[in-house]
Amino acid sequence: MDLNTKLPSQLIDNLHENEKLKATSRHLRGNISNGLDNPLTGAVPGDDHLLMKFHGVYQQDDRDLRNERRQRYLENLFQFMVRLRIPGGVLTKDQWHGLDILSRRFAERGIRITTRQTIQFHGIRKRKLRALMQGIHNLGLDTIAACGDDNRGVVCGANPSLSALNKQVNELAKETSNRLIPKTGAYSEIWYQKPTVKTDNEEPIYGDLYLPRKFKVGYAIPPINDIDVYGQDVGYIAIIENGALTGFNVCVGGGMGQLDARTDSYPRLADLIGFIEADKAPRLAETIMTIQRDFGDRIDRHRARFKYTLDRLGLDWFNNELTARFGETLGLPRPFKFEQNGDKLGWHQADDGLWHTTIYIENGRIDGALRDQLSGFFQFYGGRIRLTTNQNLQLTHIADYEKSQIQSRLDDLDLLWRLTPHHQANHLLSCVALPTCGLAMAEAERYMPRLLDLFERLKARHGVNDIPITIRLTGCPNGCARPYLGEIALTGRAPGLYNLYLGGSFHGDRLATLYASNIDEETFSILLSPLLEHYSNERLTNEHFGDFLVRQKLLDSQCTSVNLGNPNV
Amino acid sequence: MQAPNHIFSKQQWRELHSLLNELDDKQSLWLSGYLAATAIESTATENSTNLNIPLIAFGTETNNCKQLAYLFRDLCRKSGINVDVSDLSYIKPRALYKRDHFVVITSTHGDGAPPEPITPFYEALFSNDAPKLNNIKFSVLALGDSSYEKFCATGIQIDHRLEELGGHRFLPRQDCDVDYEESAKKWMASLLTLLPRSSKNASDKLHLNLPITPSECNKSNPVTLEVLSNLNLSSKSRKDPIHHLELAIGSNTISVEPGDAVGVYVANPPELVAALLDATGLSAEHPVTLDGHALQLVEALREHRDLTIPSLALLEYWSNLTNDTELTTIANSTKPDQRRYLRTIQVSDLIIKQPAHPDPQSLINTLRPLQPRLYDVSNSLSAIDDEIHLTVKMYRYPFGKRREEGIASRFLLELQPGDSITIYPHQNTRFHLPKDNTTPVILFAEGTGIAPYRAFIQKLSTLEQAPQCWLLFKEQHFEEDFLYQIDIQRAHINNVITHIDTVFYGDSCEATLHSIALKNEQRLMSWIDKGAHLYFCGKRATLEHCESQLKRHYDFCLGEGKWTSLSKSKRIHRNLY
Repeated sequence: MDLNTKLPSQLIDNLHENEKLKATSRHLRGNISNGLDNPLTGAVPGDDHLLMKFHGVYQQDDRDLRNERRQRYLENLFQFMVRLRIPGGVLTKDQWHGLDILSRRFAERGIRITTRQTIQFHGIRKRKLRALMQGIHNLGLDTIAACGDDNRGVVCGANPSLSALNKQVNELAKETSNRLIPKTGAYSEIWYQKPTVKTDNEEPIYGDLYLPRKFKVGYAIPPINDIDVYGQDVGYIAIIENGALTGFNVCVGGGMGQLDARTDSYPRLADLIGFIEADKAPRLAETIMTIQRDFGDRIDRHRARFKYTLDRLGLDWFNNELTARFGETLGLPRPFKFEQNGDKLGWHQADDGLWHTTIYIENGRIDGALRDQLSGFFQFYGGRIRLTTNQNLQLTHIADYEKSQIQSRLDDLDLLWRLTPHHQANHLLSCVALPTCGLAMAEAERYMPRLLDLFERLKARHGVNDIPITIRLTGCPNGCARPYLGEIALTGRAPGLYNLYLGGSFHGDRLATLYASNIDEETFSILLSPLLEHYSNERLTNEHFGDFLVRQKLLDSQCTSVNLGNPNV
Repeated sequence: MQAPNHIFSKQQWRELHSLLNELDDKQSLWLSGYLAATAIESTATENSTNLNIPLIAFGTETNNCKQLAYLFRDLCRKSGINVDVSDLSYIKPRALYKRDHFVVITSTHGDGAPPEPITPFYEALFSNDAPKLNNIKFSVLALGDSSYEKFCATGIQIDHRLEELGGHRFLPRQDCDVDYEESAKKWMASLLTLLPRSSKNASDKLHLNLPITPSECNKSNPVTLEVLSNLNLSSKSRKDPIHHLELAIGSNTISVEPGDAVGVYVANPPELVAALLDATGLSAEHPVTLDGHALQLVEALREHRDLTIPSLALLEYWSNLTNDTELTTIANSTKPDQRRYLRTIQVSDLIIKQPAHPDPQSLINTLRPLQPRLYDVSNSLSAIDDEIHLTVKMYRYPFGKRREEGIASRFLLELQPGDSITIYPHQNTRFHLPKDNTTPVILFAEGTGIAPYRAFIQKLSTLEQAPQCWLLFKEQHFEEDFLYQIDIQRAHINNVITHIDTVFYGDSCEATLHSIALKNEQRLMSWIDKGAHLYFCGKRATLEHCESQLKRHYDFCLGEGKWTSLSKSKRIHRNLY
């Protein structure tokens, strides 16, 4: 579709500078190849680092070292984060083995499972980037569109008791991802150094400008909302009738990121707009993406996410546009029920008799002894591996006769406790933040162990240590660990200072409210103590902390409970 | 084309336009590039020689302040005011006294912290020995976020500090919140009325560095300079770190050209002097005479006598004193045998292992004088006219079964800011840049061999027409040992260095200096053909090997003796150690 016919006033010169960059990038080629070969700097010069995001590669530097290095007349210690595209997070054990080896050869700080169910490598040096990318390619994986203004990796939830259905939904997630990734030959030219034949229409869906901002698609399988379906640009909720997949409820316009300095920036829960048959879901996602492509704000990047497009043009307008483009109207949403957004822990037997279990990984970080233990474990392992959006590792497709053997091997390798982690530890999410993330204003991953310790003591003091409470910790307000869906969330403002959000729901279907700004650790304890005490004395049976705060109106009545149109409510 | 009246007079515009009409595409393109490049030069940072041009300096993490600084520069230009723009992270407070007007645009980060990149400037400005800034007129634009408790803290602090250091606030500070644009523009408008127009700001002030005593200093008339800073350029784990020293010339007059060195008077380590005094039982205060001057023994030992290499006279004196049979045997042997023996010991081996009670004056008389050491100057006075920079590597060498540290490098590496150091200029006429500014130069360096080239590059960047310059540099690791990387990158971007090739042998064992030169064989041969001069600087073994390989190749291509004739026509310059 011709962009100019849609937005005649937005000539490229008037658009945000990133749009000009995309327009002149020759479909994401830019000058990346030359930049990789430039021996004078560990960075990729100019604006090419922005294009590299579309290739799944983030230029970063060790911020702890900036000052020291500037005094030493050295440039920043540039390094790259490489994020893989693993739709649905499913890996074979051979792929795990290969990724383990790549992490040892090329990365620092091991392997990180992300909140979008994929793997990130940190600390890659420029001169080793190509070798790593080729190594990933050799494992049958890639990194395309893992970052950038495009459709990011498609996430997919799981229900451990429905094996065939999991597989079916996962295949759809894969199909959606493959359908929505950029098709440019730039990727294999730059990373595999394979010349490609250029066609006139290299990007039939994206065109020259790609999307205004990132775009996220996710599939959830009730009753587990592990992927936080209301935080996706397009969220699909599997509808299971008589044990079979009939299709998906469709929700649109979720998104976490916000900017503290702008009042017109906010996290938004997705709206439930209808129902679609299963096999049409990938095409529907593409159609919705093209609407955002044509109507998203390309001048103000902070307002470019799909959620703002929806709020600007209205849901009615959107539904009409969607019907016109998709060629049919969506059905009415069907009943479903979510029970939790954490992973379902413990051993579960699926309908096909195969077993699943979850290995708890703190912050998703697999390094040091843990990497060695897992490497040892997977040497004799016959099942499959699934990464979860809660940054854990699931073992799936385990036959009955293997189960006890696996149990004892896990025990032998000191991994068994990870199947039954402490309640609280399994309900934390944090982003990477310092020292490598350029956006971070405060610590996150590195601070989490201390925060957990503090929080556990607080809970113990008030006798609620057996009740899990979701905590999200991020180094900035952008929302990588989906903070605004946590029962408690801290978003970084400055070293040691955070904004405190409270009152999200345990299932991830209500946003948290800003409770206090710029607080330090001590203030955090002072503020939470009375709330936990109250909770300890007054809560209803099985009432979660976030729900309690809202029911008791303890959030200064600022709390807005969003009606999600959930037919069960 | 409409005449831009506010920039050109009608006459200028007519002439310009008639000239432009005559140019073909290629000429126009060249001219646009030339003018753009000139404009870039005029935004040079602290190195600028147009010192009474107002300096607009920004501190930023998100580039907002940078954009404001450049916006203001454009407004100034439209009003006929010439200004320099620079990132505060490149500015040293002690260089500010040269400016009449200093305008700061800075944000505050997080809870009252300065933008990370300007930390060095910030710390220097607030240090106890920050310079007086009595002549400077300043104004500050502070950006902040009022949702933080310490709103605009960095701007406020800098504003107060500049006043405290004697500056005159010629326009009150403006604090701006996240919606800064309007208030920033108001402040800029006021500022525009207060800054001097360009025609005027050339004649405003001539207070710079008038030499007080124009007497030339030399080896016998050295000068004492203050150490401004002593930075370790290397990673903390490196055993032979390389330091960057900056010395204040102050009111002294020193003439050094790029390529020249300074002689440094060093002192022996205090613990070595103490060990010798202990072993001999002599009093530190014992008076001795040296070149007709009376001084204390300890001072003579510390500052005037070589306590490393023993002399023949010391050997003889010590064998007489100790009556040690082994020593006597050697003392009675032939001079070559004696010298061979002396190469295996140091002064301390002789005196501490065979203790005796020498006469202080005789001891002083038999020790060799402590010689000053030469270090290449790593800045050009045409770019930084009030400092001398040195690049010093910790010298460690095996001696017998132990490792020793070089006296001079250790002395220099341990200097602290505020310490004094005595030096004299040493001309290196055979290692100067070619007289003709069009002659290409090819610079080979290993390690500290980069030092004189940094001076070359600074000099070249002040020239209107600089020659082509090709730098080939060898060190251990790209990430830790790329000496002066930021300077070199900037010179490359500004086209002062045409090509750079590097070898980091800690990262890859494949390349050597000569192999990366020969990889670009065509360029090498054509530059030499155009009359290029070649420079070799650094560790003797590496650079000699490099040159011999190049010579072999060159002679193979062009005939035996061709390289030697380059050398004879003074086109090959060596500075090896």
